[in-house]
Amino acid sequence: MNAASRARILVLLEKELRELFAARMLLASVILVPLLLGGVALTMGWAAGEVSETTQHDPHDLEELRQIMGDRIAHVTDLRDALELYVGEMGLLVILLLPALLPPILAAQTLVREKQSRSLETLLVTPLRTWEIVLAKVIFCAGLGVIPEWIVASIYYALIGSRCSAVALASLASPGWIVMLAIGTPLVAVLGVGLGVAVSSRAKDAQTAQQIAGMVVLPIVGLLIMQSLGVTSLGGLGALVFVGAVAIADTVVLALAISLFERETVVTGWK
Amino acid sequence: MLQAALAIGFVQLLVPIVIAIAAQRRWKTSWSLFGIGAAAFVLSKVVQIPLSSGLELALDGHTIAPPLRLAIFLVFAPLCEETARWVAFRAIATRATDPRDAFSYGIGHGGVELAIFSALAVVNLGAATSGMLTPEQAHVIARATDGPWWTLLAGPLERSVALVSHVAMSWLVWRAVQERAPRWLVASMAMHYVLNGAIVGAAVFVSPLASLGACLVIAPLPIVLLLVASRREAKRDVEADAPDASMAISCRGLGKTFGDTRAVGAIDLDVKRGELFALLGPNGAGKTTLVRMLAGLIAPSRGRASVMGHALGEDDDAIRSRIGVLTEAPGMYESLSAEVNLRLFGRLSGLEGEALDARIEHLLRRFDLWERRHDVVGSFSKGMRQKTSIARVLLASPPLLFLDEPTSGLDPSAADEVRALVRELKAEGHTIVLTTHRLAEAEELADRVGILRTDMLALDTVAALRKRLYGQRVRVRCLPTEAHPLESLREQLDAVLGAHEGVGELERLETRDAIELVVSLEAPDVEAPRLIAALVARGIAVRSVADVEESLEDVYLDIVGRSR
Repeated sequence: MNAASRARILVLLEKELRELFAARMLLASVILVPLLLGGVALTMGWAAGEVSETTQHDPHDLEELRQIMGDRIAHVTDLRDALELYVGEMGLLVILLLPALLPPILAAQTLVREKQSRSLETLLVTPLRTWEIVLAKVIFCAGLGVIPEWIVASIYYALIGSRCSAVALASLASPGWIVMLAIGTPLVAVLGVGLGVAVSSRAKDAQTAQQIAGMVVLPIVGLLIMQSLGVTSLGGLGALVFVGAVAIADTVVLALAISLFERETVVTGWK
Repeated sequence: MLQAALAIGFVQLLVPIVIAIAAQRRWKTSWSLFGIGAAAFVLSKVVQIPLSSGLELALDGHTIAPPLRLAIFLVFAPLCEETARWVAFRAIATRATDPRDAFSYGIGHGGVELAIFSALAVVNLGAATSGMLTPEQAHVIARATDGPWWTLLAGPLERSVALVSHVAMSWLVWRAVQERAPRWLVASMAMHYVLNGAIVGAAVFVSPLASLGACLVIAPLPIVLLLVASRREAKRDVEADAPDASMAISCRGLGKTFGDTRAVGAIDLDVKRGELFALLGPNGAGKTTLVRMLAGLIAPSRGRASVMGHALGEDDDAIRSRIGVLTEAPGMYESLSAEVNLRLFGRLSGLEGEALDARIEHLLRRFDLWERRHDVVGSFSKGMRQKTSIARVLLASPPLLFLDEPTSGLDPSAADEVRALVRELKAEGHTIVLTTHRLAEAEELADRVGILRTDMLALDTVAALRKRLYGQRVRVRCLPTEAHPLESLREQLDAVLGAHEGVGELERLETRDAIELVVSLEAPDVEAPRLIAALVARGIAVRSVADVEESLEDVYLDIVGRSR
């Protein structure tokens, strides 16, 4: 990437930010969604510590939890630690939803707004390259999902550290979870935005673009449900496999988004 | 028997022609063309089979001498069939703007033929091997049963060659119609004639095996011909029809089709550097589409162009860095201020720092927007938004400007300011393409005008268009005198006009006090003085002589009206 491209991408990012701060409804959704999900996650983090302090436990509960959580609590001998870990994992999964939920919808919505105001056509007649437009959109939208996620995750870990046992904290801050939070979910966010851009440039109307782009959240929701039911167990290896798969999908979807983001379709295709 | 052969030929000639000509007025999609091609084939065969079977049976009895038989099978019948196909293909190609549509017809025509022959081969193979048919009966169905089982492949193979040939033919005919190059029509017809003649001749006069051999030998011919044709066309395009890169804009056959809608036909246009060219046309005429194509926003369906010396479709990024486009809608970020909008677009165009600040201030002051620079564009009136948008276009001072309706929605004084600005930009050396519905504006500003209605209906200076449409007109007002009262004046005028070649009377208005003539002159600088001198010499009192000039609006309405 040369200096001119970098400069143009920075201009686009500045433009997106300025527009975001000027559009109150969009700004509200960008703030409210992380607040809500972050609130839910932090409540679960608080509840994880509360569980070990107040609940009376039946010793057989540990066995039941082992059946649900599998190898992840094989090293845990104390039921309280196991309960903290179980509730704590649920909180982390909620945090994982953040970058999957917001970016694709944001990407489709901002593209639609630009199309409706006809400013996208104005932008498309500048010397901007297609990949620069797509990359700026990806960085901006994915960033708006990932940065709140990291902030919430940091607070969450501080909360867990202050309220839960060292065993629970060590398990919740395992390499698998760190990989998921640091790399996996940003990649999911990129996937969502890439899909949003690809769909937006082909879809005949804005609603279709938003609906299809929003579907990228489904695998994460599925993961959440499967994890809570004990169907799957997200360990270090699972996280790496997930990251690898999403990275491949990202490469394909981004290449597709850039090739599909045809000026002609954007200018003439949408009704 | 000869009459029967003639009848076959004529019927075959008529059926596809009638179908294609009738259908090409109604078809909408490639799929329907596919169906029409198939129907044309089926119907022509339905008519042909009973007649030709009877003819073949009769010929088997040697009632026609071999030379005549040869002539019928190898010359007359194929020629009729080829002519029929050629006319049908041509009818379709005339309407098709996309070669895929022409292909659809060819594939429909040849594809059904292949399917029928393949089905026949399979049925015949089954019947022959199961003993359901005697060899004689099978012979009636398919001539291939004379040989070993694999000779049954001769029919499908022949038709496969025919299918490729049909597609090649449809393409060649389409190219011929698009390029107005009759040589491709002749080539397509000759190719199909040779192929069919060789295959049918081999089958009828030698053996199915020979037919099979002929197929294999000549199968590559259509493909070779297509390749040669494509290369020659491409070479010719590059050599002869290449856009002129020294022009600001140069188009050769540039056109755009959306689905089945032909938005822009095939435009040939050269706009010189520094020229102000006005693009006129009714709503939906394709003006915006043409501008979008030239700005690299949408890809042309056909033709080529260069913009500021860069090939369209190959170097669009370079084109966009040298043009400024004022789109139909202002297209600014309405939630941001005018200054921020200009700053963002200026930086995207590569301007930075003090140069950008100075440019923004200069433009905002020029458009009386400096005091409102911190206000969001969404709070601006339509005229202020338009002016902000024009300022955006001018930020990087691009050498080529596309101004799409720059005075649309502006009050008279604002529109006047914009027109003054356009004049200044032209004086500064900018090339400007102006699309507008305000014809007086175009007449006042433009060096040349183009009137577009899918195709370019007219392209020239306003004066030249006026002259071409109406010739040079002069209005002569003559008064009756004692020597020449009204009746005599009328006779004298008739005599003078009759004696002058190159002078045509267009209108005559008679009142009690005067006779007013509007005459067209082929060479006004020569004819007008002679005419006046002749009138005066006859003692006619000439009260006034004046040029008659139609406005651009008259010219425009006349040209657009004629195109309806």
